[in-house]
Order: sequence, then structure tokens, then C-alpha cells
Amino acid sequence: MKLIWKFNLVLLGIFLLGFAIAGYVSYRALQANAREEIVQNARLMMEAALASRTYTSTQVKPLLETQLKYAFLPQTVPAYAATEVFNEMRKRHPDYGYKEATLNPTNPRDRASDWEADLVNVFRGSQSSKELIGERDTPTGRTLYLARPIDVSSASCLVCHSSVEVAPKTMVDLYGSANGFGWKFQEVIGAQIVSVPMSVPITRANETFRAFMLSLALVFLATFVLLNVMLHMMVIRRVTRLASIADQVSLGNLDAGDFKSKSRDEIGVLSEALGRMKVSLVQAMRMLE
Amino acid sequence: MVETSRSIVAFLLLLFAASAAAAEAGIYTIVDGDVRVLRDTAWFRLAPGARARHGDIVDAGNEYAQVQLEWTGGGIMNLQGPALVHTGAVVPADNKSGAAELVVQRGWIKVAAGKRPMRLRLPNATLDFVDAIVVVRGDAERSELFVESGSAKFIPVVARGKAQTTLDAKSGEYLERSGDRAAVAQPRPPQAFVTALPRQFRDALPALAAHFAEEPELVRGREITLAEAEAWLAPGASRRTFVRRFTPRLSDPAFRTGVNARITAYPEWDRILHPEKYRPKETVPGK
Repeated sequence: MKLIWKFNLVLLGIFLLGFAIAGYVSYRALQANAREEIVQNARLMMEAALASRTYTSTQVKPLLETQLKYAFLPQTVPAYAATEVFNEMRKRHPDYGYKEATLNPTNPRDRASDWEADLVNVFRGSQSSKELIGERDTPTGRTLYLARPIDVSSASCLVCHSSVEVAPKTMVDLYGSANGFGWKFQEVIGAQIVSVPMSVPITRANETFRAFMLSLALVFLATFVLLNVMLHMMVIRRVTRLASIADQVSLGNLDAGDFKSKSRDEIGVLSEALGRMKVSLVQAMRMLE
Repeated sequence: MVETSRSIVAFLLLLFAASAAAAEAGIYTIVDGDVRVLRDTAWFRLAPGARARHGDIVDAGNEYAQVQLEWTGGGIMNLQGPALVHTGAVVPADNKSGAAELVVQRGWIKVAAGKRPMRLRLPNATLDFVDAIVVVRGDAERSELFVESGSAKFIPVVARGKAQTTLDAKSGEYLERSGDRAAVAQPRPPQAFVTALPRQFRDALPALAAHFAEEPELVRGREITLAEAEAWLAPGASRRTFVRRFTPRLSDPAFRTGVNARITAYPEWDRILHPEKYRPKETVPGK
């Protein structure tokens, strides 16, 4: 097999191995980065929801205390405020979601669905579990959810959610007496769940991966071609010429050609050596004559 | 010497009475829309910052009119028109222990009473409360009370000789009386009441008196007519006060003509307009 084929086979093998390793590593890294970006987005949304709740309970509700004696204002409820803020955002970004999924809510729209109830029960079963992250398929695509427990951490929660008798009458007028009561202090009663679509970051990661691999392939290809050209020009063609002259000299044609080479590299040294060898051979041949 | 002393005392009493009458009861801190105040027998266009006087009658002319009065001794009243209210005996100088009185002919009124007892007189009920916040809607036929906080006593006005039943209303409770029927208590106000409630009554009444250091000059309008005065001359606890107050109006021919047309309703003025009826008859000796 010719040298260039051996060289190309080895080179190709190395390139393919390197391509595969680089592809695997870069794919994993890009997917991990994309997921991390999605998780950070979800955390940011969760913090925004918490900020809405705090703003509502510390700044809005105190201003409306008197109004609450006349009519219940759901705008004073932190959960309602956070949900409404996100519903406004969802008008432009319908793939995102926020819900305060509750097992026994006052407002029926907050009732936990099956999978949400499973999350709530995980939190109820494990006091140490403060956050759950997972993925699920939805009609709009793959979605990442981030969930945190809602617990009755303040006695003020029990003003509205312990018993019908204690609850503000205006609230009972609006929502009735069947739901949202019986909560206990420090009980986990629901979960804040943020849902973030995975499609955009994942698509972006895949596109980045394709671009990277294509660039790598092009680089490998260019390197392959250049190496072949260099090998041919700097080694194979020169060695072929030396071999041809040596072959002629071996057949007695002492005027076949000159082994001289301008370069000082290994081929040049070989040329010089062959040239000296030819001179010695010619002198030896003349002495024999 | 005694006569001189008596004159001095009388003068001082007069001075005291005059100063008491002119003493500020509070400040009108919100005046929106068509609002006027009756002082003595003349209407004045009310303006924010005007000082309330004993005996003021406030007329919030229409549904867009609003008045808020902040009393010097504490307490805030807010009226939503159309409303007609006599601020009565709200004079800190001579009423330190007694209740401040408001006589409500009609309208929506919210009162945040301080430590001083408050009395609201409606056509068919009287309300007594202290350190409480109440919302009242009243007219000639009906009285409604909602106790926003604290407690109040609801005393139906009954005919002389009939038993009077006082009802206690606690925070959040609603009472209503139509005509002379029995008052009805409910644990929550009906939706119709809440829906009709003036929007500003749903919030705490703001204290704004500190913003009015200067008292504006009020623009004087016309004198009260008999039609306007009739509401205050109807039989009741305040009738005598207003008969005395409006007596100077008898000098107005139009007022006098109106009184004469229904003189039987105004026996006090009959004596003034027709003194000849009340002169003692001359007796002829021997016959």
C-alpha cells in the first residue's frame, strides 16, 4: 500500500475519533447549558412571583383593609396577584405558566391537577424537599417545571383559611363556605409551579451543535487536504524522484540524474547521501575498469 | 352698683355666647361639586378650608357633590349628595361632655367618631355611638345603618307613649327601618346597599385638616326660602330652635306670604304675624 494511503487511513481514523469525541462532549455541554438556562429562567420567574406576593401583602393589602369590610377584593390575596401578573405575561408568551396549585383551594381555578397533586404530595411527605425540577410533555412541546412548596407559615393565613366562622364574611360571600378551609399551621397545602418551554433553548443548543460540528468537519477536511498536498509535495514526489534515479543507477545508468537537493531537511540529507554514494560508486566502477 | 354689675355679667355672658356660637367646630376639608352651607338664614357657597360653625346646615346638592368635615375635637364626617345635614351642637367650647349631634334629613353619610360620643338623628331613627365608624343612608322614609367598626345603638323614633326598643349593632352588622315599621337587623349589608355605597366610603376617611391653615372667604348667596326651611320646621326635637332661627325671615314678604298660607302649621309665628289674635279681650265693667 502506498505511503499516502497509509497516511490518509491513519489520519482519517484520528479525525473520525476526534470528531466523535468532540461531538459527544460538545453535545452534552450544550444540552446541559440549555437546561441550566431553562432552570435559571424558571427560578427567575419563581422569584418574580414571590416578589409579587410580598408586594401585595405588604403594600397593597394594607391600603385596602377598609374596602375589604364591604366587598372581598381578591387583589389583596398574594396568590391571586402573582397568578394575575403571570396571566398578563402569558398573553404574549403563552408557553410559560405559573400556578399556585393547591389541594383545597378557596378559588377553584387553583385546584391542583393530577400531576400537580403528585408534586404537592411529595412536598407533604418530605419536609426536607424544598424544590423539585422535572420535565413533561405538553401539547406545545417539552416543558420544564420548577416547583416549591406552599406552606402555612404565618398565622395570618389562618384568618381566611382555618374556619368559616373566623373568615372574613365578604370572602365567604364571594367564594362560599365549601372550599379553602381547614388549613393548619405549617401544613404544606400546595405548590408554586413555574412551567418554562424547553423548545427554544434546546433548539438553539442543537443549532449551535450543528454549526460547531460542521465547522469542525470543514476544518478537518481542509487539514486533510492540506496535509495530503504537503505530503505529496514535500515527501512523496521527492522520494519518488530519488527512487527513480537510484533505480536507474542500479541498472548501470550512471548518468540517470542528479541527487542534489536545495533543502536541508531529511529528504535533502538523503539526497546528499545518495549523491555521495553515487559518486563513490562511479569511482569504484572506474577503478575496477 | 348692682345694676352695673348685672349689666357687666349680662354683657360677658353675651360675649361668651357669641364667641361660643362663632367658635370653630371644625374644618370642611373636602368640598366637591354643588355644596352650600346655611349660616343663620343665608346660604353661602362652601369652599375647602372653611371653618364649620355651630348650627351649619350643609346642603350637598346632587350626586356629584361631596363634603368632608373634620371636627376640632376629633372625628370625621363625609357626605355624599344629594344630602342635607344640620351639624347641630358640635361646639367644643360648650359641649365637652355631651354628644355631638348631626341631624340628617337625607343622604349618604359616613362618620368616623373619636372618643366623643356622637348622635345622628334621622327622620325615623336615632343613632348613638362612640369610637366607631358608621355608614348611614337616610331619607324621609327609610334609615339604613352599617357599622364598619365599633358598635352603635339604633333607636327607632316612635310616637309618644309607645315603647322604644334600642337595638345594638356590632361591627359588620346592618340595620334598616322603613317608615314606622320594626327595625330589621342583618349580619351583613345587602348587596344593593354595598353597590350603591359611594366609592369613597369604602376607604378610610383621610385626615386633611393640616392642609388648611387659612380660612377662605365664603361667597354669600340668597336667603333661605320657606320651602327650604320647611324640612327643619317639621315637628321634632329641633323645631323650636329653627323657629327661633328663621323668625327674621318673616320680614321677607314672600316668606311671610308662604307662612300665612299655612299659618296653622306655624303657631309660633301666628303670634308674631297676627298679634291682634292674642291680645287679651277688653272687658266692659258691669256688663
